[in-house]
Amino acid sequence: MMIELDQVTKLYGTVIGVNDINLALEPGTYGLLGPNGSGKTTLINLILGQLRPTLGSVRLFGKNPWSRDSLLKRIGLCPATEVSYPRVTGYQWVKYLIRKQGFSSRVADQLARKSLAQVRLEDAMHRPMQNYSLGMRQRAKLAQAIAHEPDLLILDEPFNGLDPVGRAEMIQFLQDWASQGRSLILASHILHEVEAVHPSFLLISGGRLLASGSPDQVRSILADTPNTIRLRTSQARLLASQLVENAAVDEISIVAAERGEAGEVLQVATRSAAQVYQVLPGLLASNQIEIYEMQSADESLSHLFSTLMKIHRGESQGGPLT
Amino acid sequence: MRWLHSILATFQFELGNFLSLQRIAVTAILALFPPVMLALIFVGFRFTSETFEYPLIVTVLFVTIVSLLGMLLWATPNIYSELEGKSWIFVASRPGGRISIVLGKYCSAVLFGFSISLISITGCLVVIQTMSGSLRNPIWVWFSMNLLYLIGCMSYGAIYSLIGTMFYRRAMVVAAAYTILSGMVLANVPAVVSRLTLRYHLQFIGYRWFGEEAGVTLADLMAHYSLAEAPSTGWHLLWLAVAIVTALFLAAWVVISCEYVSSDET
Repeated sequence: MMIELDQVTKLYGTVIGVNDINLALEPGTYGLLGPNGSGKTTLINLILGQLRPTLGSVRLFGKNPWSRDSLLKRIGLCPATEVSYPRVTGYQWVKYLIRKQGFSSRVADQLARKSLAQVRLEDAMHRPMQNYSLGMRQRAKLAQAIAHEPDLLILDEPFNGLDPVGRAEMIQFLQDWASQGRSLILASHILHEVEAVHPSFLLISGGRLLASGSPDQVRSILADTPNTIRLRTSQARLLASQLVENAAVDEISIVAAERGEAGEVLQVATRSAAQVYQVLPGLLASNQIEIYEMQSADESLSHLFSTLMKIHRGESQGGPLT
Repeated sequence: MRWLHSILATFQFELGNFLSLQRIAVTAILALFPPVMLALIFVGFRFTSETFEYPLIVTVLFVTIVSLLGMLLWATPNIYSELEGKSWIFVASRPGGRISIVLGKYCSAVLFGFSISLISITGCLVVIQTMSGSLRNPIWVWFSMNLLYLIGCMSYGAIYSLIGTMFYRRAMVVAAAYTILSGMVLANVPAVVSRLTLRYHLQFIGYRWFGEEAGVTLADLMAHYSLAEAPSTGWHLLWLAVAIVTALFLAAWVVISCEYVSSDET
């Protein structure tokens, strides 16, 4: 087992960091998802042995990371925090951190150059980091994390500050990393970015691990929980009359579209968006209804977490997640 | 070997950071303060070797102040500066990273602190010899004073490093309070408690090594502490060595036992 958490709780005084987390992760790719302040960084720090659990126990590669910091040889960490030394170049910083891994200056030099090239920062590596863009700093952070070729790479909000090209490159890098059979934990609050790396999900909110599962299972729980679908169409009333007969539809309302937009907006509240999605194409085709815009207003991470919290509290039916 | 690489990496990285205009300026101001003040005293009051009896005592006073200030600035914020710069997690998540940051920063602080002492002592002795020519053996005084201040920097640096790991959020305040309480109050008490202070031992070594040149005798010091017999220099050096090793060992133990969390991580 790569990581094992047994009833782990971490308190900062009276503030709960993480609460009663049980987790057993085999080597693989994991997306740690949760809103800001949900306990992702605390969980990572517990796994790394930077924090000691108030209750419970943590095992990393079968050992207690708090008392065995030699385990850190096998870990590469790219934290969310921004670091910037005034006059230190990217190369100097990465080399320094590789040397802190215990490598000699000569070996650290080679590893630093190699990892900076891997993140496509070789042209800028001798420039002071204070002149780097946010994206370049992010890549330098990634370089120091991968330079010693760790067994497990942990990235905390790695997409912060990256432009679309940078995001695509980061996703590609992480996909390559995962395809090489190396383990990865990717913490983020943005679902679709994490999803692109095809991990198993760990969903955390309010310091609690609410669920874990595959991307399909996450989509499934989104589809099978109360949701509101918004359709901007030219024939809202006709579509409403067709949909109202569907058992999955709880409520229908029609509101005016935004100024300058064509048609009207049909709001369909449903307890199973999946069922509505199933019948919708047929209804639209048979009645030749034109759709200008369609969105599921609630299909976001915050909705997913509020749903999971309801399930957790027993206010709603549980989905297929474990 | 891995640990040595890691400590050396911190030491060299700190040296690199030190070479900024701001830090060099601070060091230069601190280092040149004692000789400039001494020269002003000589010139301003028109002192000669007959009228200014204790220029070496004044030198010790000034150099001690700037050396302690330098050590306070560089040895004490060993953990806090990393937390404040948000670089702590990068170094702490390396094997042996916590201990190597304390020991590497300790070594660099001793080097910076001693550099200040070296420049100050050299400058002051040049001023004294130029203005009064009162030193009989200036080379020995220069060597022994520098050696004493190196030991002093190592001793106070170790204590400040320990304070930096234990009270990292208020390290400077605690270290300043410790220096005043220990060096100015406890060390002057003619009782056993004074022997627990660094100043007591450094003082005895200084009196033995260059007390005569400074115009003071060991008998004066023994009388102050009501001692019939003064311990040997070796005993004082051994005491200081034990204090340094103990303080660094405790600092290493504290740094691996403590949870250091910056506010944005909670």
